[in-house]
Amino acid sequence: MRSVWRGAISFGLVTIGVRLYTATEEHDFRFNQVHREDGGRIRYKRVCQVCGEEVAYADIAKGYELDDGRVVVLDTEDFDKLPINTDHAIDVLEFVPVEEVDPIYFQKTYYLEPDKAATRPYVLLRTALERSGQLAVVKITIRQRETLAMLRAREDLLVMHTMLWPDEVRKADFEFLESDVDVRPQELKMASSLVESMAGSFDPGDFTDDYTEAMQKVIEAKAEGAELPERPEEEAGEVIDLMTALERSVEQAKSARGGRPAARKAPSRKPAAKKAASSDGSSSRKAPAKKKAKPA
Amino acid sequence: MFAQVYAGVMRAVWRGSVSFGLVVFPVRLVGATRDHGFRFHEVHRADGGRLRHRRVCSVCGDEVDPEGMCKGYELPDGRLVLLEAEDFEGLAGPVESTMEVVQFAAADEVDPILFGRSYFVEPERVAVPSYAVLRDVLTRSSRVAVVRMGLRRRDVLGVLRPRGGVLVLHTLLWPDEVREPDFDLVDVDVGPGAAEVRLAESLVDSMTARFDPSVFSDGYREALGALIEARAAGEGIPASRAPDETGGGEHLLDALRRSLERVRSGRIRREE
Repeated sequence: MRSVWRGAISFGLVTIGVRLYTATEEHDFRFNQVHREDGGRIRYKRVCQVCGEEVAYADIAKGYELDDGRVVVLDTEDFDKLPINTDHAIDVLEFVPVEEVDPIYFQKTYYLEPDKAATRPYVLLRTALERSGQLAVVKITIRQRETLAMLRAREDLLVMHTMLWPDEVRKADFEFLESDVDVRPQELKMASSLVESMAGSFDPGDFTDDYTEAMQKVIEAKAEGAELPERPEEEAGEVIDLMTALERSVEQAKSARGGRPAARKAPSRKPAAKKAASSDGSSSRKAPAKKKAKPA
Repeated sequence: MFAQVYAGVMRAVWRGSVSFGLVVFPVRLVGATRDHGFRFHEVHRADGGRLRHRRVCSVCGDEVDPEGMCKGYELPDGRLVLLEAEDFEGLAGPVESTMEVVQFAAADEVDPILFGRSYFVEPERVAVPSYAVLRDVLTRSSRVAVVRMGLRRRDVLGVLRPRGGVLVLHTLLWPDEVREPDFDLVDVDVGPGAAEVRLAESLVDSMTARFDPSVFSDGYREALGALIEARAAGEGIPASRAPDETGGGEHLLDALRRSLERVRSGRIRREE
């Protein structure tokens, strides 16, 4: 692992030297665009719309279009000179209870490793966060951008979650929120039983990315010139009302209990519920009134 | 038309059904977040002209249109596997049009390190009663619904969480997408009764506040906005601020004690 940032946490008058490491990485396959005819990689040639010439990388600047159509041109040095905090500090601004932070704000996660000399204050901050159930709200400048973030105790380490700014979370002002919805008590009760019967402790390791696994097989098969697997068909079914659906679901979930809760693997085009439904005589399901309602 | 997009019109990125047991109801997903950064175009410095990207083959040198392209995956031995659009269509994975609830779990059991993108789940009109039942039952039980779905050709694991009156879908990373930290901490014994721990806890306590993200602002964006305005008005670049000084190397206990005194006397304040 290579560190992506080096600096220090400043917590009151305590300074803790740390390095940051990216904690996550996508496992997706990376593809290139290729010219089918000769297998050549596609490159982008940048051509100026005004003079029609191909433009070298060194001659490219950034343009911001104003509302009146004028373009403000900015160069690398303009960005370098921006009056922002460039010191290598993670400033602890305050502490907040874990449950007060809306996960919608969470972005990227980094692991923090203390410098050798800073291990003691690092462990101390980690311990204090864990024992108090708090997160530290911090500001940090990474790649020239000032970012709001949270420090959290996770197992033996401190991790940092970068956060969105408040105006980056959109307002959820949907029309349906104004409509008067009457949730009937028996529906809620039945739904609660269904939730209970499908409840378990969450272990992401129980689930696999079937798409990426299938992609792997396709790539392997193609590499050997083999045939590709066929795709199964989907079926349609009966329409039932909410209360009936809840009742039948509870029955099903109860009879399925004993093993692990619910379907662990992807339903792979054939949801598990369907099999159970057809085995007791009734046919399978379908979305009630799958209308493309609501003109946008 | 563009003005509308920028004003934040919510466009659905996915339409399909939530399936919860045998309860199935149609919903749409809209992005819950957006980047507030300024959008720049690449321009030719000499004449300010916008740049256009032309796709050119690196072997034959010809310009290639989209129909002439396919996807290539490079094997470790350097061979290239070519894939066409239809190769992707046959892949197994969850049904594209269904978000299937596979489990319910306690909300605090999901490690935030797994959180990916967030979407608002909006019910179609016919689905409002079913939607309300699922939302209310999650709220009451402090649980989230673990879901599987196909989204943008990807197999997505996610959780549905009530937020206000709206269900939010947080996509999750797959476990193998979380790296193992490969450094070990030197074993330091900081006993819970130690004076340092008590002091650190007091310091945390005295700096504790309700979390209100709106008191923080993006200094970078503000500085960039000011620069763009200054340039538009034909002015120079605003002056740079000197970096703040970082703390010294006092003895830890002493630093903690003095920090605490400072906070208590109100000299360290939360940022505005």
